[in-house]
Amino acid sequence: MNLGLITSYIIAGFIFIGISMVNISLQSSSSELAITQITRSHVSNITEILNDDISNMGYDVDQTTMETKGVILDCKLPHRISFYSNIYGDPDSTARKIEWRFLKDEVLPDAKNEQHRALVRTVYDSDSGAVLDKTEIKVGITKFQIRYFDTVGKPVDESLPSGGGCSDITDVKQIHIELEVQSPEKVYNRAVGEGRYIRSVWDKRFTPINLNL
Amino acid sequence: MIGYTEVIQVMGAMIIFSMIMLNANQMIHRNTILQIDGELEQEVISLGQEIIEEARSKSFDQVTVNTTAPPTLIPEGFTPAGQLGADAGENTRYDFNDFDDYDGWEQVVTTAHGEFSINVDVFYVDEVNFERINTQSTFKKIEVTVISEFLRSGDEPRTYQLEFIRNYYAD
Repeated sequence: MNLGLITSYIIAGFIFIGISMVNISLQSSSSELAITQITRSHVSNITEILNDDISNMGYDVDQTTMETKGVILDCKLPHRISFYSNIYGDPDSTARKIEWRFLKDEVLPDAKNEQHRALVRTVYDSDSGAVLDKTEIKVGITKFQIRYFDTVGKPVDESLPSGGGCSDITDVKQIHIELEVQSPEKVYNRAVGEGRYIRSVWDKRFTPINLNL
Repeated sequence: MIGYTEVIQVMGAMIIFSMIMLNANQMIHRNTILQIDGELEQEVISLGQEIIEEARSKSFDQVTVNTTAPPTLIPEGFTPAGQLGADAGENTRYDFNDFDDYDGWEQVVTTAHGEFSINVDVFYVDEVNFERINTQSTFKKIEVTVISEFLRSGDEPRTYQLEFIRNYYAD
């Protein structure tokens, strides 16, 4: 066997290893992109409902008769918000109470990512308090943080204290919501190591018109 | 020439491999840009909508702040086009009390996704074609421009513009 042939085999070996590594990198990158898109579509789906609910809070609410029920906003807590709104936009329908609650202390038993929690949207009959609709959103939510502001445009770290329970609802003009969704599966660099979950973070400060009349 | 045939073949293989590597790297790079762009654009939309929603919650004009009766002259009674912008004593967003106070307002907002630079332009628009005009009308348009240093087209930062037209009578 001559020297040229041996050198060729060695170089061919390096090339083979190189091709394998490139293949693994491509696979990781593609799967990361796919998981990112799935995670982001979950965020998009949730925020679509949030955008509608929060922006339109107080719609068709008779603030004279609803006064005893807390006018528009019913409850302001860091992980729970409830308010009145005619969500159907139907003049024959009455305002319902809508509640968004993040169950941050309840571990989901069948979740692959142990940080995942459920976000629950419940619609109550505003008179009887009966549950009309309950949607448990379990698509990898790891954070749902609500902040409240008594003045529009304040910096995020100057929000109102919101641990006072459901009775302290005065002076809320703006609501900031931060949502984080993580993927159920980890992605790995070169298919080794600890791996990491893909995160998608969305945050928005709402200025509901009916809280600013 | 004994043995050189293999060396030449290996060199050919290396050239092909280099081309594969370049393409693969380009693809990985493109994937990464797509991921980052999507995430940051989500934030850009939120920030733009935030400003528009906030401005919408204010009075249409300085002359309609805290008044129940409409101005005597509409639209001539509204703030002249050259005087749109924050009024005296309105130095921050908290102080703004009407829609056009946001005109000329600039801010760098720090979020979980980094810093975003926001510029706002408010002006009167024609009631028919919604083009910018220099006289008062019952329509005002807000243009919110958001820029992130991480969202670029080539060497230049990409500019995102969100717009909203507000009508005095639709309030």
